[in-house]
Amino acid sequence: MRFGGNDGVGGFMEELPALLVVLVAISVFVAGVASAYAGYVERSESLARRDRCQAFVQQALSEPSLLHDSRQGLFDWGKVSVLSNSDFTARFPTERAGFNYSIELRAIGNSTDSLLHARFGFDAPSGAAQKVAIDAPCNILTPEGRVEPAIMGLVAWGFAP
Amino acid sequence: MKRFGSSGQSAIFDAVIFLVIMLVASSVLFMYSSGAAWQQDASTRAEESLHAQRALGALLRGDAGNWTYAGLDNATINTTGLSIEASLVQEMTMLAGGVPSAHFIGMNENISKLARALLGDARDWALALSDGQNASLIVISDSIASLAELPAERAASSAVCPSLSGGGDVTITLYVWRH
Repeated sequence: MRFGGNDGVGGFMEELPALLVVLVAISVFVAGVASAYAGYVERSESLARRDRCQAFVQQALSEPSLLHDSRQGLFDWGKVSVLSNSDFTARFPTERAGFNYSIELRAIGNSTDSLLHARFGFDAPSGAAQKVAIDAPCNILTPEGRVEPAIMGLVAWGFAP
Repeated sequence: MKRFGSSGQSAIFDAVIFLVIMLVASSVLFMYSSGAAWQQDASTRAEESLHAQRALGALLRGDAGNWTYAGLDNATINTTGLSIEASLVQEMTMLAGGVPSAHFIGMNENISKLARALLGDARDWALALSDGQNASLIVISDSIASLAELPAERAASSAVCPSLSGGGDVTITLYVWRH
């Protein structure tokens, strides 16, 4: 096949730079679309994961069977200390949460801090992707009747879609 | 050297126009993407407010510990059995009655230590008490000396407590920000 018209092969070659510019423009646009979409999806999923974790923490902070006088965020150590891990995970099953979790309750207050420490849930695998950590301030009522400031720390991973 | 013909120049001109349009479209996408980042910032602000609210509740409800200081008329005041909220309201009353602020250094440092532990290393904070007549009689913070130094980007949570002297209520506000 021969190139027609007066331009011939020369005319085709003259339009090659224009073709390259068009290809560059399309590549820039496609890369922009892909990047924006990937960023949007990642951010949305990250926000949704944190929201689910916050809801879970709120649920734990409001669990009446662990609280003193059902006061939100005031854990009764007499109830927490006798709770087994299987009791806790039965009360907060991973199927309902939609993720695996490890939850830790520790006093940060004045005296017997090291004794007021409880951990429930599962062992977090090192290097798990999409791990979310949330610390929620709360209180522990000690057997002596003191109210200690405390932290409830949640680490969540393995999110169900 | 062979020069581009008029058709070649026209094609390059069109292509450059097309490139400019694509760059503008990509910029619009970038701005949209930044908008999503703003949405994330809004969510972060809501989470910081929630954290401030929980931290203030946990702090005020906590035990003040065993502190003794000379109060009004040099009477010995002991904070044993008091919550931090009650001890702060008492401190307000004492300060308003002329007790020097130096008497409360140990107690306030303990409150400061607890607040730091509740809020974590990633945040700065300030606890301010006011009684309506005085703008802020007490400010406890690791990082600022007065509320004028508060950054614009911050979360806050307040609790209103009845005053001991029967006057106006005491407002306790916790300001939290990321450093």
